[in-house]
Amino acid sequence: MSTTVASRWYVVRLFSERIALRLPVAALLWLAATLALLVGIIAFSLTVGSQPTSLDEVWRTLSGETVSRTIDNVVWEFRFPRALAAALVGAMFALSGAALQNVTRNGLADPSLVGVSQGAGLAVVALTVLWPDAVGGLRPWVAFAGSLAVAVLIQSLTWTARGASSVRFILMGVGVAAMISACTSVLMTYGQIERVLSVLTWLSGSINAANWADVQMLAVWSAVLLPALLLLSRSTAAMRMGDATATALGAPVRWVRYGLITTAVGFAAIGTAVVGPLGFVGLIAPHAARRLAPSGVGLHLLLTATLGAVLVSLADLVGRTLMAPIQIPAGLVTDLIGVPIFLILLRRAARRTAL
Amino acid sequence: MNKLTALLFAALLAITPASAQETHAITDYTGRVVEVPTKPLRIVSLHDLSITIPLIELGVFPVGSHGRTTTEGTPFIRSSAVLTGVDFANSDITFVGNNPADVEAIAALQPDLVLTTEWQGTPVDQLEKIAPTLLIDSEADMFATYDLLAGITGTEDRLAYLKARYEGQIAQIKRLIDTQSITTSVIQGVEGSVYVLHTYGTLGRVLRDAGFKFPAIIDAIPVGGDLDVPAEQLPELDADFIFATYRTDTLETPADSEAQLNKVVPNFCQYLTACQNNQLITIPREEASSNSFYALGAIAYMVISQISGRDFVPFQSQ
Repeated sequence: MSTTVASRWYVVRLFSERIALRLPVAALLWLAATLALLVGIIAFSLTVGSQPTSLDEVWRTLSGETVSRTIDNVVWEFRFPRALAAALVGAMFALSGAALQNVTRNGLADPSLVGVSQGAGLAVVALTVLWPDAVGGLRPWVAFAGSLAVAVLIQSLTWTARGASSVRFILMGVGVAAMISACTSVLMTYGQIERVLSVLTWLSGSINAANWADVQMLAVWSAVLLPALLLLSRSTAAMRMGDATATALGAPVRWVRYGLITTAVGFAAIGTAVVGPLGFVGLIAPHAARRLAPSGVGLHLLLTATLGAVLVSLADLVGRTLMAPIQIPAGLVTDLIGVPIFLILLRRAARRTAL
Repeated sequence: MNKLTALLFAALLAITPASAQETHAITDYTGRVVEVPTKPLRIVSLHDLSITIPLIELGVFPVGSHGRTTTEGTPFIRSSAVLTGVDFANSDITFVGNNPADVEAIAALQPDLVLTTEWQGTPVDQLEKIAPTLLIDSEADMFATYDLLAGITGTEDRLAYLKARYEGQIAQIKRLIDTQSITTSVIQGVEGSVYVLHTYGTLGRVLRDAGFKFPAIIDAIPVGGDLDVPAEQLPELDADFIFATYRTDTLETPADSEAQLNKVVPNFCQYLTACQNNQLITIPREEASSNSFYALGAIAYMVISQISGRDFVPFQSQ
């Protein structure tokens, strides 16, 4: 492996120059900066909350010393898994949005647009209202099953003899999402009020319940899905030039498209299963990454992931501490940030008649 | 030497940790077996109406409680100011959030017992890392909840007095009113239909315990169940006396209750003979629906004052 640093590019050569990566220095610097910011937010979130904890106490606790049973619990069992879960789901929703935007070539694509979040929501509400005695621990798995069922339904509805089209996928997703939301509303209207209220927090996108098992699940799935997405990035770059050009360059367009859709659904399904629907992260992060530093698909994905992690970590930190002990779900905070940005993007897209 | 022994003994008592408390096993309604301190001293309640108010009525002040906030952000224990006189502002009870409650605020109180419900969004597995956590069925019969809480807190004697007072109040209603010959109904307008329950909170409990009759459509609702009655079936809810409720914690008035019913059926009063004859009684929902012995007593005397010794136009079914 050898490297070359030019003024604007950082070139990595691997396997006797059979593989060479030309990486823009600006994007690498932004990636490093956002990663440092993420670490800073996580570190800060370990020290703030309703239980007064000094930086020294947090450090001693993380070093394995038991300052007190309460602080041990607060740091290890509540704050740390919550901070890590926020970062991981942020990255997952962001990558899901990036993959969907790449496959549809539509800058407004977001996991919640194609019904994945709604599928998880319906499954959990149905479990709570119709089978109230079911074990609460089933919730993530039921949500995951709901998301996957919706993804399979949309893919099968989209499939025709000529293959699948991304526009059709989005339109089917919008329609199915609306239908699922209506079914969820029906269940919530006629379900027992106490039971319905118990799922409202989750439906708002709340990370308060995250534990180490959730962190483990998120990490394992990220370790599977992120490499898959990066592997697809080379062909995705070719597809940015249009299907015909990409096919001419030898990219397996149809399979790359299915790969991107499946990966996007996987990221969103796991994220939703753990913390509920988090709107707009998948919309904002890819756009922000593109504006910060233009780069190739692979580096853009990494920058998108760290920006998503920063966004949700910050949203959860604000929601947890701003009005403590009142807990504001992270989903509401991301919605507050996301809706204005969505409207700006929509206006720009309308001006370019890209819709 | 004796002095030194006494000092050592006192010091030993002082450092006896909370974990050394005697415990006993309780199986909650979900089947979980929880080792609960025999004499819990630092209870955190995670449902204001279902747990905090009953605890206060039993004479046990939790160290922390779930609550609500006003539009100005001031926390309060729903209905407690009216029913018990106790609220966050005039007690040492710490506000630990709404739904979900703040698990760190709970941990900071170092409780020896957490009482929660399945309604609460803070997961039980997180709470169990702080203290033994018992799930209370927020939809359980009021007396079953009081029995459970009195057993946990060792306040059975206090509960016995509360029950004796209530029995006296019911006996007084029965002595003054021929309840067996009077039908009653409790209604509430909600988004296009009339919401009724088999037994509407404390109001329904007093009416049923006193022996009042109910329309067939209400008796047909399973015990513990509710029903949305469409507008066209409104006359089926008619009775000698009809009760309606309004929220006082959100500063509603009786006019708001009637406005809700008018949304269901414009000029609803003309379809109910009780209403036509000034036998529609509108009362605050805090007393009418809370799990509280004070509320039972207030409702009992409201029933006596509104119905006993009064001439009224009996409802004639068509």
